[in-house]
Amino acid sequence: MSKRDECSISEKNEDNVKYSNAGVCPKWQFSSSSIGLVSMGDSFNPGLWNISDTNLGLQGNEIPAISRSSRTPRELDVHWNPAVSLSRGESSVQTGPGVLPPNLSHFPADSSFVERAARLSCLDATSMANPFRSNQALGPCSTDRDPDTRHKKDTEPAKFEFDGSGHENEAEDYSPKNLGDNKRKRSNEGLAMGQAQGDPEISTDTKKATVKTNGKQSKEVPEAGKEEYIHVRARHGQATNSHSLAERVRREKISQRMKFLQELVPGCSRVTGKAVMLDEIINYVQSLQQQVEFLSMKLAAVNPRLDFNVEALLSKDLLQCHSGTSSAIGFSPDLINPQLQLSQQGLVQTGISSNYGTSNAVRRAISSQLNLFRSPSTQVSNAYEDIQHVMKMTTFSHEEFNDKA
Amino acid sequence: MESKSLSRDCNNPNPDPKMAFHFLRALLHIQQSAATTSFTGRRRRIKRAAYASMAYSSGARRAWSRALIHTLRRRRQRQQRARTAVALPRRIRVARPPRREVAAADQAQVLRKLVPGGTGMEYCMLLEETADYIRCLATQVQLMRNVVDSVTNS
Repeated sequence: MSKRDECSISEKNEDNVKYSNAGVCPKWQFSSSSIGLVSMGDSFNPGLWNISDTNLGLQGNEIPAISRSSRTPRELDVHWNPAVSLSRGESSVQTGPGVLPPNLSHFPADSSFVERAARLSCLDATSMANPFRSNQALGPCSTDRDPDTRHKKDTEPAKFEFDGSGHENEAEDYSPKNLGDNKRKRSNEGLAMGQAQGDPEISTDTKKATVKTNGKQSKEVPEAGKEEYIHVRARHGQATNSHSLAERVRREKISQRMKFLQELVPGCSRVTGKAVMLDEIINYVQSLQQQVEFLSMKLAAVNPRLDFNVEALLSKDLLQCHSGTSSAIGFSPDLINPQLQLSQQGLVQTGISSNYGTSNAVRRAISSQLNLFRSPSTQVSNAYEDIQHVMKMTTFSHEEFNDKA
Repeated sequence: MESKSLSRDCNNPNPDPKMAFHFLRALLHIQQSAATTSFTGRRRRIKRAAYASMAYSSGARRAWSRALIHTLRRRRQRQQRARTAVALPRRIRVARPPRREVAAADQAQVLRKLVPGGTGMEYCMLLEETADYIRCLATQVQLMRNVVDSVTNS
């Protein structure tokens, strides 16, 4: 939809106003269709084009003759039409309300259209912003500017009177009765008071009208902002809700861990209350660390004697640790049996000295040590079932080993 | 002896063969290399070895083990640097004003100080780490007790 289209359309509309002998009926159609187009938003001009095409086929020759400067009033006429049709005789009143609100709702909705018009010319901008009122205001002004428009204006009232409406605010003189009529109808359509008040100012200034529309638009923007703000606040409320949810989850987690710690720390199961429990936990950790210190001290004191049997210790302590988790270690016969077949003390030494990194070597050492002191055939085959038995035997063997050492 | 060890093993929540292996290897190493060092130095080394074996057996998935490993590594680096560097005059330490002790100290803060790497940890995480740390520490204590028992009995 280009500006050129707009221009031509308005010209044709002007022609429509000028030359249509049909009078109101085509106009009425035109306005109604234009309303539909308005409601459609941007597709304003093509519709107009079609209407002017269908309603009057004679404007084609006249378009070049019409000057560009006179375009504005003509455009205004286009917008003017629905209102006029509304304010026609009493018979058309019932049709009016259906027509006018969409047309009025055109003001705020068609901002892009207004912008385009503004780019076209300043006058257009003012008129397009508020077609309904500015055309009324421009009527008198534009008559001074252009003889063409004056001529048009002259024709228009005649047309409307021909319709039998008997109500024209296009003319220079405002009759109070007309104004009252106008007001009444607008109030019937539930228009804003400012618009009704704007009627007396119609002849004074077009800019005022545009300012008013701007004000209306700007009034709508904060409304939208407020709505968004409310929306944001709602989200804020949700966020707090989620925070509380997260907090609840965290508390549940903490209580769960506390329970776990309670099981872990001996003598803590009887205690109730988080503070006491934490005290217990702290005490236990401290005691454990002190025990580590104490035991390290003991080991340091014992260390000179330790040099002979560290390897034995290694295997023994590993085995003791293993016995706790029998399944994890896996004294499976298929693991042990090949080691049993090997059954060499030298393997133990090599395994300890070189292959420390793997627990496999440790197992090998254990099994071979087992091998050393016990008869391999008896107990190892069913060692998987009774690990305690194995443990006993191994400890026995180690004690033997230690005593020997 | 046998019954005692058995009961201890039952008490042991998660006996780790890795831990015992590390620790005993470290003991052997200490005993081999530093037989001539003093009693306190040996004690410290053994203690450090105990914690290190704990940390290494736990791996890097725990915060406390990471912290322990980090501190040990840093200490080692410092020692190596001190060994290689020319003896520099020691930096004079300015005495800091004593830290204001909170009268009713938060228990969580105490726990933070006890658990390695606990400072600046989230409370929920701290409890988790504490649980793991306690478990590993108990295992370590158990292991050391076993070693001491075996040594003293023999």
